[in-house]
Amino acid sequence: MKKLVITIIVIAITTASLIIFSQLNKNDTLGEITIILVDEIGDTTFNKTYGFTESDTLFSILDGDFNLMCADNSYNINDNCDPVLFGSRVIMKIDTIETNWSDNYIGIYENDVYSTMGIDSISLNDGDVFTFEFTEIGDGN
Amino acid sequence: METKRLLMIALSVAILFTQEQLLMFLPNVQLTVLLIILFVSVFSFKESMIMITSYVFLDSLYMGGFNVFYMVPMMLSWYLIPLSYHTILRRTKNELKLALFAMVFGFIYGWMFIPFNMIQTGIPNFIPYLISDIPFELIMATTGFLTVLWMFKPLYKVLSDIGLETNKSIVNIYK
Repeated sequence: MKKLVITIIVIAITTASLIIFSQLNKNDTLGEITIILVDEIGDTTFNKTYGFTESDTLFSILDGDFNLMCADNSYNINDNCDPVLFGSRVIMKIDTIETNWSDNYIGIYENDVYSTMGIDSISLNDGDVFTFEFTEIGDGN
Repeated sequence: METKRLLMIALSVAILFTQEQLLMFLPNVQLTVLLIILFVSVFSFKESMIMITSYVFLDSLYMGGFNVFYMVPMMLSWYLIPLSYHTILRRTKNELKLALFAMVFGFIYGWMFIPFNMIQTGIPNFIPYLISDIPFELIMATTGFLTVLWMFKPLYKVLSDIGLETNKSIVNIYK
């Protein structure tokens, strides 16, 4: 009985914490964001502004305009970009910018600040500028 | 080392690795914490360290080609279990104490990777790493707590019944 009570309390606390955590990241209702792509030699290959609504995600906006490839469970490049149960997808390729994860990856910058959240966890706020930059391992700023 | 115990270490590594791969589709939901605590409670300190080293080498080879940024924090984290079990936990078999330890370990495991991620990415901001990992640490802590609370005792009994418990084995060697 004691174990059961402890179990219920722990599950309740965890569920509540996860719900609160997920509510912290919410989109603005309406707005515009800019997407910039930077290739392996540091050149900007794309720069465009998109409108978004509350139901859009950064991934869905990218997916509408680019050929995307994602990482599988072993961080190998894969054309299956289905949503994952928890956490975030990892984009390995955006059109011609292709990474292999072990030597390089696509770093995401939100308003010039490096984002340590994955693409599915980033909320959209009006005026945000998202830069997707080919990044060598150990080469961050 | 007795052949039977050597084989049991090998089997433990195989069980750890297999269950981890089977549950990979659920991030941080796995039986690894439970199984390592369980095996550590029946193996000696030296046997536990051998088991963990083998498991981490196998896992790192399969998952990341011996990527040091993945292997080293993982190795250090898992080593904390036998170290804690034989020191602060005083080889307790109390499931609640072990479950609380498993819960705390869920957070420590996540924190251990932060400095290595900072070195790997070259981005030295500590707080964003800490915040972004909280949901995963919560899941790992809860899974560890609940699995140890409910499954440690029955599994320990199974291992004791087959004579794997350290003291029994030592007695058998001297017989």
